[in-house]
Amino acid sequence: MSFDDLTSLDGSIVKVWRLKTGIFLGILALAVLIWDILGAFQSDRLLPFGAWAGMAIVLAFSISWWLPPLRYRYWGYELREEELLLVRGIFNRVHTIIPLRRIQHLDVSQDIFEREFDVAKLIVHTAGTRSSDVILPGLHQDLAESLRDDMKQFITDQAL
Amino acid sequence: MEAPSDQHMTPVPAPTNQAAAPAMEPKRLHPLTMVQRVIVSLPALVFIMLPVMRGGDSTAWFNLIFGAMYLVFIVPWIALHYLRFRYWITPEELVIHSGVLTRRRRNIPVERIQNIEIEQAPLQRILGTAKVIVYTAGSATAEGVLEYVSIDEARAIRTVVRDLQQALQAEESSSDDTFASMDPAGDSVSEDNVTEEAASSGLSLIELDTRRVIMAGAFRFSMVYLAVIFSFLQYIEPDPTLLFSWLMRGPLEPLEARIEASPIIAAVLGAFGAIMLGWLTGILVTINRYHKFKLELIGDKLHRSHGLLTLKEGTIPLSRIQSWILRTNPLMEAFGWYRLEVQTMGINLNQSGYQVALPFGREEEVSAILEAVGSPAVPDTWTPVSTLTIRRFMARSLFVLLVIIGVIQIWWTPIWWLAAVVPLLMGWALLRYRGMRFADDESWVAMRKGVIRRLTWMVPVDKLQTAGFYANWFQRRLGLASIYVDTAGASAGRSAELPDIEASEAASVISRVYSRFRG
Repeated sequence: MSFDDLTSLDGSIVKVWRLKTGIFLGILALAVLIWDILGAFQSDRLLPFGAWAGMAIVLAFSISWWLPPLRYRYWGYELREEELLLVRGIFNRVHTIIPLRRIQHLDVSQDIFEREFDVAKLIVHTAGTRSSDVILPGLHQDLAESLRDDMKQFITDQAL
Repeated sequence: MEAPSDQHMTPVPAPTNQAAAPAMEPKRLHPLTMVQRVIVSLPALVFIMLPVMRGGDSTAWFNLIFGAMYLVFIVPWIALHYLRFRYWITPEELVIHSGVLTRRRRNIPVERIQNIEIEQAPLQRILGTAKVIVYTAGSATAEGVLEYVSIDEARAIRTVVRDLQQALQAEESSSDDTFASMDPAGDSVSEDNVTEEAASSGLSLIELDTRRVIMAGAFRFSMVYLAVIFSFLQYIEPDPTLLFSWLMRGPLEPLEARIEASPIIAAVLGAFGAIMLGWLTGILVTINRYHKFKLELIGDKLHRSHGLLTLKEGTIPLSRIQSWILRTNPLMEAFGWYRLEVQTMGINLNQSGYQVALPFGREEEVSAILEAVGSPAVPDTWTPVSTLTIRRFMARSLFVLLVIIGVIQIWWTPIWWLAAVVPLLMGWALLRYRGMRFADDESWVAMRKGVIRRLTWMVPVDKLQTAGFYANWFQRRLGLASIYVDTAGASAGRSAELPDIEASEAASVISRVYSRFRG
């Protein structure tokens, strides 16, 4: 089972991830900013006004700018004849083999950000416990549906 | 008025035209059920009447009224419940109608029934009745409970359900499988090779004699006695002043004097006593649970019966077994004892279960059972994991140790003497490394790990759900990876997983196992 030459995700997912991490970290940075403003006139401040908030904003911005491309770089998948292969993870790199005949059911889902960029995620459910729902994000809407149909076809053929 | 469900109609009798499948008429529970329920509720009555029986309490009349109300309501309730309760088996389902105020009609499809357990507590054994518990999943909660029916009836129910299931399976194997009905646990097991003879007569796999059960208990330590003592104290609620005056009168005075004379010896003796008590309780608990433990292979099911006071009989369908787990600890292993468990999966995918196939046995006995049911053998040649796992463990624990020392140093006081645990950690790391190993064969993969709780997973390759390997940044730096083989029904943190194997080896083990699964 070779995990080489896997397919990359759709490039638009980087934008979706940037947007999502940006919003999440932005809210955190906003909280820091408010806290900074509330303490603006205290005399025993360690750092001048705006230092904490500035750091938080810069950090939030750089993480949400640099992390998604890295995540994208280490994501790979491949639908083979009888199995789906996945590789993912920046810090913890996970290689997974999902035999197609173990698939319980399949979902294609889109949230509002993904809809904006025409990408979707494919959710594969197996009966296992460790990784019963495997999520394959960042597929073009049409590709996600055709992948799902291919897998469904395999399962139906197998059952007959 | 529209009746949402036809509860007020007489129960529909089962169709009788099915010649192959024996069906039952609607039945009531055993009449002695009422007697048993009353007996079981007596302790509550005694509890209510306790102040009255003690006498002299000014609020006792309140409890008296309470007790009277209890008799007025509970006894008729028990009778009504009995009268309302009906159950029967049609070729398709087990039907249970019950309830006094809220009526419940429960239909359990026969094909979904996994396990029918028959339980006899001491009272039921005297009266010749039994409790029938119907499970539709590997474990978790019971779907249907019949308490109580006669013991013969209980066995008959089990036989009828088993026959019906076999008839259904024979029917199914001739018709097409669909996606929805595909067995999620394994490849649809062909069960039509189970002949009638094999189904009726069992093959005895193992029986434990009393000596063995006592031995099993000797390796088990139970603190259950503490719970018993506390609940007993809570129940009788001893009056502290009475207790004090009793003590002041001096029945324990010689004891007291001795404790004062040598407190250290008293403490040692006290601890020794507590340990002995725990040891004895462990033996008693084990005898009560596993007395006359017997494991048989009947058709395609493991049949298990055991118990001293409460008799239990249950079945584990072989097709539901996802992996075999061999469990031991350093003490048990030193004497060559193991415990064999099976991990099962029910209809509901989220439910997991572990059942004991052999509570206490030798490795050869385990191998014999595994061979008889055609499952993986206990491997005898293992591959160890990388020795770098010792280094990783030490790095991890030294980091944690330094953080602890640092934090306490900053906030409180220097505790450099805590560094004395380093040799202990090294010993632990070595033991941990020696426990970690894996093996694989054409039909299974096995992994073993643990220092105190030593677990060996033996997973048949055809039960694999997903498989893979992973490595975090530290592992990648050392060229290591962890492997896992996921099965259905494993609980979190108890699945077959093994860290720190050489990365190229990890990848090749997984692809080997997977290609065998693919066949």
